[in-house]
Amino acid sequence: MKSRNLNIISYSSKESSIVLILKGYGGIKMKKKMTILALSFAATLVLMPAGFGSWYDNVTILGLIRIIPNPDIIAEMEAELDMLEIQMLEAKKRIQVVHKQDSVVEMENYYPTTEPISVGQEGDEVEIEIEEELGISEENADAK
Amino acid sequence: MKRSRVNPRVAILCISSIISLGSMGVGYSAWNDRVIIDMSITTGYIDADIEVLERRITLEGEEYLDFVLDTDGKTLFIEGQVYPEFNNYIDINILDGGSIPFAISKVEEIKETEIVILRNRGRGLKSKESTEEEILRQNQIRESLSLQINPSHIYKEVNYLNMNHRIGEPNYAVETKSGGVGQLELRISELRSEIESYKQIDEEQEFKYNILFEQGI
Repeated sequence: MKSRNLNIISYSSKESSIVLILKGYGGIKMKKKMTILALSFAATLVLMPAGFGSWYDNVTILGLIRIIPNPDIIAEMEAELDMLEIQMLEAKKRIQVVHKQDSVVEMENYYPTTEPISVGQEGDEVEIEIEEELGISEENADAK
Repeated sequence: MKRSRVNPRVAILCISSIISLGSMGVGYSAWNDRVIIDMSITTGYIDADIEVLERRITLEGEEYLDFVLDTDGKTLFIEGQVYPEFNNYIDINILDGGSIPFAISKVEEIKETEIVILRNRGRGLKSKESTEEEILRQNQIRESLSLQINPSHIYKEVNYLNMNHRIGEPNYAVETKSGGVGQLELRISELRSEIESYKQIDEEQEFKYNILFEQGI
């Protein structure tokens, strides 16, 4: 062992430490062995992933989807909007009628009529004009 | 007469030893036999291929979906355009083209999107009334996947898409009270903004799934 250690020390400092070790422990034969070992290790590293690769597989699903508005749905929505607007107008009209009827009742209470209102002779045809702008419906007119 | 140097007794012993060893060898050979096992082992491989039942789905209006499969069967490209209320399932089969059975080990969602959900349906059920050709094809199917495309839930501002109603069946009860009018006015303004939001929908959603397979049953 002593001679080997001395061998290493005797080599010039320009040589790499691995070469020094190789030369120190076993000489040329050891160098060959180590070279074969390194080459076989490198070959293993190349072959192993290739071997393992054949035991795995993968697939890819790619997608690009564009989302656009549906013209039928737009038409449906606009139709519903129109319907809602009509319903709102009708509801507003009904409210106006209720307010008008309430004000008439209040007026009658304030100025009570003692004599019944007579319109023409008995058996005459009477034409009743429906006041649309006040929102009086035909049913209400008939009731009056 | 010259007398032999070999002792006749030794000669007899040697000859008898040779004969006995020879006969013993023959005897032992009768008690032995051999069988030859000639075996060759080759490493197997996994080969997963995509199969789509339809190459193009044409839906109502401008809706369509194209399925383009790569030549090696490893990449499926889905391209198309759909309406926001679209909600459909696309069946994708994974065929076994290798020598080792495999199973899904990992599903990587590389590009995420909220409109697509990938589900594993397993190997699927085999119909008893299948033909021989169909059975062969069904045996090739290792995994069945289902790709759900549903963009409606990402447009939360458009409530109309999530309502189960049709024209003539209003959602809000129409009342003649003043509260009813307020409700109608609110609904009208909501619906107007929903229509505007809906008209502005025009976007592209991209997704990418990487499915890894390894040995397994």
